[in-house]
Amino acid sequence: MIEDVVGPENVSDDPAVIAAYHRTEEGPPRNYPPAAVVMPKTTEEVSAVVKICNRYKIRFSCFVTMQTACTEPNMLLFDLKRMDRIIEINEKDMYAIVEPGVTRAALAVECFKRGLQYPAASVVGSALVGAIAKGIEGHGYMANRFSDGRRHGLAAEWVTPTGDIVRLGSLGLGAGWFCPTGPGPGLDGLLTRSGMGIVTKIAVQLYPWWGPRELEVETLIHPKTGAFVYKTRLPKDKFKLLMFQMPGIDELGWEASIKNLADALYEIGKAEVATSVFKYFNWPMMIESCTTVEEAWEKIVSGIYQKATSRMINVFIEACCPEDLEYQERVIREIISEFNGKEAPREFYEDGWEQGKTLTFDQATISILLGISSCRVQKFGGFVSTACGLDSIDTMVRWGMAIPEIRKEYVEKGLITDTLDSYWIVPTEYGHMACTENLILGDPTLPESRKAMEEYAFKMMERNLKERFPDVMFRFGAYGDETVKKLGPLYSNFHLWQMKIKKAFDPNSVANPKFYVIPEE
Amino acid sequence: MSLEKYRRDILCCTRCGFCKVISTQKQKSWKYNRACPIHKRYGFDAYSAQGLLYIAHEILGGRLNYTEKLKEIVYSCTTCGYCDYACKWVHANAEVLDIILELRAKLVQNGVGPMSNHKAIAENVALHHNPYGKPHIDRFKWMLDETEPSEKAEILYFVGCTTAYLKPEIAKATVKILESAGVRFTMLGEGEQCCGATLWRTGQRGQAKKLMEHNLVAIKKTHAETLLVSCAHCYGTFKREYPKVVGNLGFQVMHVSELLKKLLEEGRLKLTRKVALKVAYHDPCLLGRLGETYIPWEGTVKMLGVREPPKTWLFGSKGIYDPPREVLRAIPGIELVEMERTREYAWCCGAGGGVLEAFPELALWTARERIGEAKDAAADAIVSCCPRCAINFENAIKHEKADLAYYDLTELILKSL
Amino acid sequence: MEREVLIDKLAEIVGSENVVTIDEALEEFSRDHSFVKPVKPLCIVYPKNKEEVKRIVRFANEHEIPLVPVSSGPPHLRGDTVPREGGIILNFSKMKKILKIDTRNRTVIVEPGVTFGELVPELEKHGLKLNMPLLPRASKSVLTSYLEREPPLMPKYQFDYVDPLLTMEVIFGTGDEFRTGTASGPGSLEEINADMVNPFGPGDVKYFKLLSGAQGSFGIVTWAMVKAEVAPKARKIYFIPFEKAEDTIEPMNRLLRYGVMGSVADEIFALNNFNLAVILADKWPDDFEALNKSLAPWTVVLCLGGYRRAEERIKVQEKCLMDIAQELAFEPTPYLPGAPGKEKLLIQLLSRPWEREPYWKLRAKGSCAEIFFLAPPSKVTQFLHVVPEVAAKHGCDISSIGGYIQPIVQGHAYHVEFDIPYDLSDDKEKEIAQKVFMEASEELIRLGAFFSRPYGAWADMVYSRYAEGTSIIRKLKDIFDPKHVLNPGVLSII
Repeated sequence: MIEDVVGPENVSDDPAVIAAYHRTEEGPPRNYPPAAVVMPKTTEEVSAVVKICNRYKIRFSCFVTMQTACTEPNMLLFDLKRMDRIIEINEKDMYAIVEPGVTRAALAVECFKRGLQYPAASVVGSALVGAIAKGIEGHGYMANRFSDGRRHGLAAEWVTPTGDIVRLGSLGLGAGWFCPTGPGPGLDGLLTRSGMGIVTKIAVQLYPWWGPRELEVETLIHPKTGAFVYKTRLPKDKFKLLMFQMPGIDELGWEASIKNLADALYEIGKAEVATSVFKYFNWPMMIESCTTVEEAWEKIVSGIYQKATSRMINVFIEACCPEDLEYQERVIREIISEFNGKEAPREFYEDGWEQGKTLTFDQATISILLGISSCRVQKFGGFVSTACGLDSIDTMVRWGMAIPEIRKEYVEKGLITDTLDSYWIVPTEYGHMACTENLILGDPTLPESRKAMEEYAFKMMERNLKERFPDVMFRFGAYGDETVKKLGPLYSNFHLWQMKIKKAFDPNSVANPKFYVIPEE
Repeated sequence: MSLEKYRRDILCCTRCGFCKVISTQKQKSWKYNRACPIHKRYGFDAYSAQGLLYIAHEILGGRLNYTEKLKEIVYSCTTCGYCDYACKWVHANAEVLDIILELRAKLVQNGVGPMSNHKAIAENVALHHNPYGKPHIDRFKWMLDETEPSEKAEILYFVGCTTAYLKPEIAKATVKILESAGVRFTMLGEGEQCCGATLWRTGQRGQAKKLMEHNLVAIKKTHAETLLVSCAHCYGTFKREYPKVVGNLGFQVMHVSELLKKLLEEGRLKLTRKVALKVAYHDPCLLGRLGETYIPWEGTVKMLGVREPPKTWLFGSKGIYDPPREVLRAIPGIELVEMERTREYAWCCGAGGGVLEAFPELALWTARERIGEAKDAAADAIVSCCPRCAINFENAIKHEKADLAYYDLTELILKSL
Repeated sequence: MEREVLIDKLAEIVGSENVVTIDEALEEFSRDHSFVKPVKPLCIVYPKNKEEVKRIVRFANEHEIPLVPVSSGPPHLRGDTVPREGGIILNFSKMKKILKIDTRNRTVIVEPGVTFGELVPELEKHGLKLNMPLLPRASKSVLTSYLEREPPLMPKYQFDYVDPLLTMEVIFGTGDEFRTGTASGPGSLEEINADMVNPFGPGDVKYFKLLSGAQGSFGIVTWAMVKAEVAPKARKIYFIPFEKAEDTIEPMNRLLRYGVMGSVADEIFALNNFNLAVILADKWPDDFEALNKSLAPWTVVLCLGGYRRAEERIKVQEKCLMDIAQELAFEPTPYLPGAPGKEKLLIQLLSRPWEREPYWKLRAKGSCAEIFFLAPPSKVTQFLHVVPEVAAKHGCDISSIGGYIQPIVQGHAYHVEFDIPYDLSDDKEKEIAQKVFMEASEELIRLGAFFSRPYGAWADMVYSRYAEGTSIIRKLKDIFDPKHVLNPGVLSII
């Protein structure tokens, strides 16, 4: 029946096809191989297949960028990559209508041509734009000025868990794609990560771009390793990356140094400058700029980066004119100086590469900022991350305090690397909120290291709960049903409301019921 | 190497997707942002380097049986090496292409592979020393009467099967150019056998090894210092695959475009006739990103993948990209335009890895994509340096009835001499 | 249940002094300035805290009594406070605590009874400002204004359509307490180790979006956190006069895509001469008539703001303004064309709620029918002719219709508003105003204007055209308010 809908070449239950969607190490309780994979092309095909699932009580999940998320055995997995059209880029209204298979980099490139930008809410250029339709928290570095994926979704076309096609927001009244919310209650609040059906088209908010319509990218070869190095050149009178070293851990200690840095972040937010501002951390900085693992390792063991980058603030200015750039730069430097920071040494900048010391950090950082990241943070085979969810800058600071202590035993045993400061803080919306993530760097190919990384992450989660950080509500998949049921009462019994909503919209319980939502027993 | 030795490399795959899309800084449009032909064509992730690595992982774990579908997936890859370049650019922690080739070798070892058309190639090679089953004696039929290779010379021109049998005009042009520039060259004559490219790339290692050993002996006998090829497939195979089997070659491998560049610089080649054409140069995979000399590595892999001693990775940066372009620019009247996916991130023509033989429809589809790209670049013609690319592009142009021509680089040089 | 028994039971919950049954008071709440049919409530109840609200809601569930939450003082213009099916008015004017002003995170937590008149001066003391709508009445509830997505004056601070609303505490129609976003937990408010600024969640559902624009029909919000912003250290106001409404759009578009951090101005909006005259007039009617004549048909108002290095920032913004002005051939001026000397007054007015009586929209004739909707930049001009044309058709004096165009969400959309003043005591005028209101609204919806906040008669017009959305809203209503006690009928479909 599904073959009749999508064509036999677009659905498969062959084990060789399935194998690509699942890896044993990522196995239960979170990740089972799908029973079959289906690749629809249109909204109508999605709707028809979902209806089949309802008729035969087949549970389905939806492939979303890097995650496959079949939370139970025998699920049908929707791979939406055939739905990869950029349907429209509306320059006047500053939005793009995309299907879920469009990648962030592809959209970014098309937007630049039209004097617009899509502030990618993820560091991975190959990640799917449609992920934002799922409420993915994907946090981009440009969030100070643009906010992030949470805010960018506009009107949408949505296939509900029962297979109905619903148009949300202004689209529902034939008023176009520009507004996600209304009429009346904001029904776009229902769109979630695969538990509530599938978004098949969504408009995303775009923003003005004062840069070149086509990025000028120079190709160089690393003199030592022979790797390709791509240097994106942006006009210097409108774009500037600044890197500042704030008083470090050696100087002020862990707590005082991070608090000082946070104060600076708050001030920058209040000054309403800097398209992007964030506390960066040393090992992704290093890795983004390294072409080989050996190069990265050399830098890690030298200790220089732990010292020199223990408290870094990166600032990226996009200006509409040179005067704007100069003004923002003056303000930022003034604030940094007030908090005893100083500009990072030249070797972190443009000419560091020519000096043979390091690949340029700034090029790597610009890549991230433009959503065209090299994804080099995955260089060692991936990492485990632990996070807090979004709240204030101060909350992120308090949350990060546990890191040195919890990490200690694993570093001492040599199971994870000693990267000292391993988490970033990215302010959002002029510093009104912030997001953080602690990347745990070990070797995921070694079972003992992988186990240590997962244990570390788990201990952070336990500590989050104990100290009442708002972590849990964003990471339910990590906790599992039973734990969430216990925790739910601590969070306004959200799990019961979510279950009711789930039941109302997914009466046959087919839309990925176990991921984030607890099915009724 | 066996597949088992790549276990760690395989686990390094984080599903970042860079093997499927053009390097993000180099993307110029949505239309041409895809990099992997089979992934674009078939959609399922199994048809990608990531998918193939996951399949390899499951096979190593004994969790996946060999099936026709599995075989089809594994052999649909053109082995263009885009994934290898992309993954190394991002991670430099895995030999992606070698894993795919090793996977094929494992299928052959276990009696599952290769595809039946590939078996036919092996039979042809065994009987006639070429994949096309044509008589060995006809290998040098293309030679012009006036062509007189030297008994001994520093340069040995290795013609290659596809050139010799299917695109003899390339050989003729090459030889005429050499003669015009006063370059002395020798040839193997009957001693020349298939370079082994397709056999190697389809996992038929045993037969490929025989060819490699034979050719090495024959070449060494001539005492030539430079092996000259006009075929990208031969080039990439000699440089990147031969050393894995036979060790250090003991001679330099040179593509005709490199020699042409040198000859132009030395003033030994005079291009006087105008060739009014707007051309897009297509980088053959085995000349560009896969055109580097293999460097063996032995050592230990420590935590995080740190190799001790440090490994020299083949990033594709030392491949041949500029010489053909410089040569083209030297031809009066030629206007060179670039397609969006170019150089190290060029789209494959579709003919490699045995795909032309086993999946002709896929090969044609892949080439048609490229033709569209050339037309979007407003080119009158595609130029390349590989007879397999030539065959596939010419077929696609014919199929599309495209208003586009195809030329080998040597043909254009000849027109201008 | 008999009325007296009901009153007694309510008095047990809130205290007898907080249950009002006087006829005049009930009359006042039975109607407003909209065209919604008046319905008298049974009584007015004044809860003082969340626990009382909970108990009332549970009581209402037990006895199936409609509840209509009212947080703002009069005048009410949109029909959302008229009890469609009778029941109890829940008046939050006694829940008026400013629970917290957080200067570091620039947020403020307010109970529903806190008004702009109370909050704005408090924030000023802390060097903060609100992203206010245009001249809300001083008695307007801050919480309600943001919950109902009233368009604020400063689009640069609005990252989506629900901004600046953050977290909330709500009593659902079931009587259950819930907190949204990072206010939800873990544990009590005192235990939560967060500043509770993230509105998303908890879990997958974005409750704050579901509650916004619901006109109190899913839950009663007992406190809300909203963003505040840094008050500028320096300000400079500019005006751009235009003959036609259509001509204001492109300049505003461009000014929201240029300038420091992508916006030349903090406040930016356009008013027609009528509305601007109503706002600026001191003595009525003389001042008003003079201003109405002298002001340009439309004026774009922009306030440039300076923060750090305030004067420098303003200088850069001025330069950016002139860049755009040169390109589009318009002439911004620091003097209000047609009313030079009123610039300071306008800045003062924009910084505060409307404190005078009557409310500015009622100054002209005592009542007013508002027609407002949203439109994207590319389509705004298509709708601007409708209200004047329909008004003219019915014999209205179109020069007496107020016009207001407000860019929102960083310039991604526009709130367009026409205010039709009429004399409530004049039945004929009222009838005409109603006809214009209904006909123009229908025509606008037909043409594709987005009535995102479907008050009063709009609810029917909108939901009759949006079956799929209606079905979803009903499902949500059955979840959050299964007994349909919260403001039943206000969205017409629930």
